[in-house]
Amino acid sequence: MTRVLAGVCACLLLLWTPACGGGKEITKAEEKDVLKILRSDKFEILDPQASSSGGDIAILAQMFEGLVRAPEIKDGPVSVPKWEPSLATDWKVEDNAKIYTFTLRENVKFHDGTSLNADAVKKSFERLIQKDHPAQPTKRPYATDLADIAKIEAVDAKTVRFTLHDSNPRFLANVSLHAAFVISSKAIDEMAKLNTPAKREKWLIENTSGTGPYRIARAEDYRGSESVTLTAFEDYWGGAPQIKLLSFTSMADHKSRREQVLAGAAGFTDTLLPSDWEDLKANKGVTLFTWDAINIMYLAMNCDQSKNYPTKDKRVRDAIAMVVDRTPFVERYYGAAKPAHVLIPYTMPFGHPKDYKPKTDTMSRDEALETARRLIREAGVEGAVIKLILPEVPRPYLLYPRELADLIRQQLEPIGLKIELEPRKMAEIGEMVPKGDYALMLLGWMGDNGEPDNFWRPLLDGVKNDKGEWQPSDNNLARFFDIEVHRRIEEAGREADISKRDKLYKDLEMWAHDRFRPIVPLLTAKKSYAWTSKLKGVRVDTGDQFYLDKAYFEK
Amino acid sequence: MLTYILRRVMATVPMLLAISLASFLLLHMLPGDPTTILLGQRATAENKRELRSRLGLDKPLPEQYLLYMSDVSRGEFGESHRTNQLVAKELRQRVPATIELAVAAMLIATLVGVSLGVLAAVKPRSLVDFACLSMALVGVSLPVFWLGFLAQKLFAGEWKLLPFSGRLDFGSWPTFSSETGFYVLDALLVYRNTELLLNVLAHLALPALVLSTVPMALIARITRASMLETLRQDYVRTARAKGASPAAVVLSHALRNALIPILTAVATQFGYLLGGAVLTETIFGWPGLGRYVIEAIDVLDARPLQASVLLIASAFVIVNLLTDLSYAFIDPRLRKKEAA
Amino acid sequence: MKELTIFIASGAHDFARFLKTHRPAQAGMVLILLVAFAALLAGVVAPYGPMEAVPNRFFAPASSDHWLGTDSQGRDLFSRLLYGARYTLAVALSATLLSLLAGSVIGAVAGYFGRWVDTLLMRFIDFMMSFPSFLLACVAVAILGKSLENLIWAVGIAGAPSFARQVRAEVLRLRAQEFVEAALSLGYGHTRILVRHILPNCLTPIIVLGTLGMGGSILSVAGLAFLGLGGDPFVPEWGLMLKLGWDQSSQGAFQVGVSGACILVTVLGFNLFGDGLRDWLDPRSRSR
Repeated sequence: MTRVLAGVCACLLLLWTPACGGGKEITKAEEKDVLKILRSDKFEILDPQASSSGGDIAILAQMFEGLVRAPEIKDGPVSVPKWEPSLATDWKVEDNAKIYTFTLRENVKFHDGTSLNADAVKKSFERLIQKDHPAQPTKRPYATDLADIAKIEAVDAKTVRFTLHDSNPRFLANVSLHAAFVISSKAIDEMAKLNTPAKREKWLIENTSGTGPYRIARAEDYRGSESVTLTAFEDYWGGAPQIKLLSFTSMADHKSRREQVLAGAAGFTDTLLPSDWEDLKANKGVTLFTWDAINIMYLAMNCDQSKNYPTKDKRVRDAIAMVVDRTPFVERYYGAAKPAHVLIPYTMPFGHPKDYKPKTDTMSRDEALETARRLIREAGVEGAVIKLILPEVPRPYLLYPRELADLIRQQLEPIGLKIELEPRKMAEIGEMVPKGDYALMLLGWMGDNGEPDNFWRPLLDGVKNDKGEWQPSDNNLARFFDIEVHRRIEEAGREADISKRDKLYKDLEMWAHDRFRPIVPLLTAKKSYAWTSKLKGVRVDTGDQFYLDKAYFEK
Repeated sequence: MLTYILRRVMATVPMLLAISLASFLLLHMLPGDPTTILLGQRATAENKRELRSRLGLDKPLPEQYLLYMSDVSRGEFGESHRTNQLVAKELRQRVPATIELAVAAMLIATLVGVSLGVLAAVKPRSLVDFACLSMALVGVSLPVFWLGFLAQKLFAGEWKLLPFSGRLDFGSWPTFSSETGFYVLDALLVYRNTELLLNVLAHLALPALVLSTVPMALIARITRASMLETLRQDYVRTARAKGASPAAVVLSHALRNALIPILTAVATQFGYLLGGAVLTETIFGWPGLGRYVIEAIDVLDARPLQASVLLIASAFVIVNLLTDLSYAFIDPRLRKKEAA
Repeated sequence: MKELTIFIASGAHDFARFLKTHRPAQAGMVLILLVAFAALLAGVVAPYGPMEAVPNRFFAPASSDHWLGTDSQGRDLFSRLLYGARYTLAVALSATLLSLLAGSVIGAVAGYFGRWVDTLLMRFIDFMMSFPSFLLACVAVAILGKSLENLIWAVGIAGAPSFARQVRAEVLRLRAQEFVEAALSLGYGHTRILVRHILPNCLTPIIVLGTLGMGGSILSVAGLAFLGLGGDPFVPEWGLMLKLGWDQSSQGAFQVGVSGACILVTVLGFNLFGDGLRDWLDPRSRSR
């Protein structure tokens, strides 16, 4: 008995030790200094030139900056693409949009203490566009967007000039991409000393090298793919941010994120389910920020004539487009989505034909059903079993992949098509698309830079392969290519006059859909951020990104 | 005694070999080409060829196995293609997280389970006995994830008493970096900070409680049964007759002799918790070993899967070995038998 | 075969008498019957089909049309729970039967033949048991692929070792009995002795083990489904339904609640009844 008592006393003593102090120094951060941010996605690669996932970009956007940036969302979408100064204070476009000259901001410091100059910009872009660069990352998903740079010159310390292969009025849009964020020259030199791309990526995480308002202060602050702490950069050119620490935690579960924000346990989160928006709006402790984002969800129908899927017959594609009813989709989003009938979303600054609908979308339900049944009979595919590929996990434009795919299955049943759902990982889908081994795919696209070209070119255009034959590009889910469509995309992309460009895209839209019908556009979804109402000064730009350099907590 | 220990230790060697072989073969059993599994979808054909020859995947299987074992013996488990991190490094974070959770859960389970079991056995057919039996029954019938859902909803959502998930509120403790991997020990010994300790314990409370239900139920049941058994024995009656106080009889005479089955239950359950905490870890975002396995399965990340399977199974075998050996010390009969 | 029928009939009679005195087992039987009736009569009782969606009525609250409201696809939750009993029981039963079959064969062969056969098989079983069974099932699904059928295989395989051990112990006990010696001296073959003499005598313990195993199987299947390893999420199996509700944030909380409750009730039923069966079989374990 005494032994037991002694044991209990010993345990109590051990518990008492914290009160005695003398341990390693640690202080609890004050509430006004920390913003706890929950992310619906994970953090994988924190190299601006290698990242392509939303979770990575959200963190990178706090640490790095580009030459120009997208404007803030204030009163709905903008009608012409506009760019704001960031690391460049001014720029000149010459020679029919072939030469771009940027004047750099004075007194900009990188986190590693070096200063921004034209050489640094040149070096950073070179790492992105040069093949076999000594400091190259594991992958460069956005390199093609800037591949038309022929020459980069550091004219003087504060001036950098880009000469393009061909005139490109969309170059500024591409320079605003996160892949074009400027990395310090010192970092690039250090990375070139490491022998594998993976080691370089790791080095860049541990040695913060941007110009942005926040940085990873210590290697331990990056705790794997689930949690990372950013520290305010005191020498930020725009003034040190008021909130000293940003703590990012990955939490896929919608419910937990919602409840954490409601309970005040977290200060900021992205992507909440529209079904929860009402609740959040009614809550005084939470600011819900929703906006019309530039994205589209669509059903792609494989047009590849060399494959043996029923969808290679245009009659089948027409029939599917006729019977798909967008009402339940919009309903399922609780109004946080608008039906889409063309490729370019209504939120795009230009190029969206507002009053146009393809023929298949103007029929009455009865007429559509009857015609579709007839078409399916004529094509001889009645009772065909068709696989529908969908992503396993939600995408920002596709919050309920399984549920919506199941609705499509229900809608196609009456015309004699039997749909089987096949959820796949995004990586797998990426591999499947170039091979084209599927009939239907439910997915979408998010705009990177507010240009219709950014939708047309990856989704419904092609590239020449090694043999010089045209083939659909890697994100062309419908495996569709037509030389005339290609010609028109090229023509519109090169047109410098914005109103002429607008018309070219609209005409293309009205010309192409009824003629080829490669896709069924379904909807454009709104997006959301929610934060504690004490937090003020959050900036959200038209590229869906949030910034906290001017944010503060109201007392 | 010594021969018994030796024999028991020797018996585990083939078992460990079999486990290592299974974890090795796992790479070849997963669907798809091993090089794609190891490198992920991003890899080029050239990368794959290079890896194939570097790993010796073109060599015969026995040779590959030897290569694998020499890596493992040096503590090298390769890299995860999902995170590009060394698996050994990730395990150094994941394993302590699971051990911490499992130890906390077992503490709760043992304390509550044994007390309930003893009380129930002392007064059979009483209210306590009924409570003990019901808990033992409901405990093993509850879907853990459902209980976790309810606990999270009530304690964290409605009453805001405890945090939702994670191991620590890194937002409030931005400079915290773990030295031991066990956050409780860090708070207690490295930082010696009461507030930090409370935060760590608050995060630990719900998952540990939820995880403790199954072992608690089993321990209570076994304690009750073996206490009932020992309380009927002659020496307990003798002790009573000699006028020992009831508490002393129960605690020092009966409980000590009922200890072996209880200890077995505790040890087995602990072994299972090391790898069986998957569901609890998923609900509470606990970055432990079980969760690691599921994340690896999700993207067919072979290296982490191999390493975790090897680790969990070996740990389980070793825990069993230690349990068996500790009987030899606790049970005098066994000791004598061996000596004779 | 006749002997076997008599054997079972007398066993059943004996058990019925025992059941009258054993309250928990009665409760367990009531719960199991309730779920079994739901499964059998789902087609008659359920007001809607399990996949039948009411257009655009997602997450409708409980009403006279939909007793428990509708789910994320506009389908009647009450009907789906009824059909869910059918799927859940079928999946768990298949998995349990698989474990029982594999476990009994291994256990019986090991226990009957002894020597190196026993050593080899039991080493293998020990090896299987060095993985926590739930984790073993997870890895099995990783190898086989995600689907409800593979879930059955995974849970079945993972559950087999513990059955094998217990069946072996039972066979070892029987092996030493006189009637086996007698059969051997009559020159009967091993297969005949195993099948005609030993296995029938193991039948009762195997039934008890199976009943107790059902609860575990239901929980394992639901757990794997919860981790997203269950394949098609629209199959009305309770674990998958719980997972589907879980993914719907606040709107799905009710669905999580009721599907979890259904699982709890069913598992409780099997455990109560199984405990009762065990007490009947082995009066020593009777703790009252």
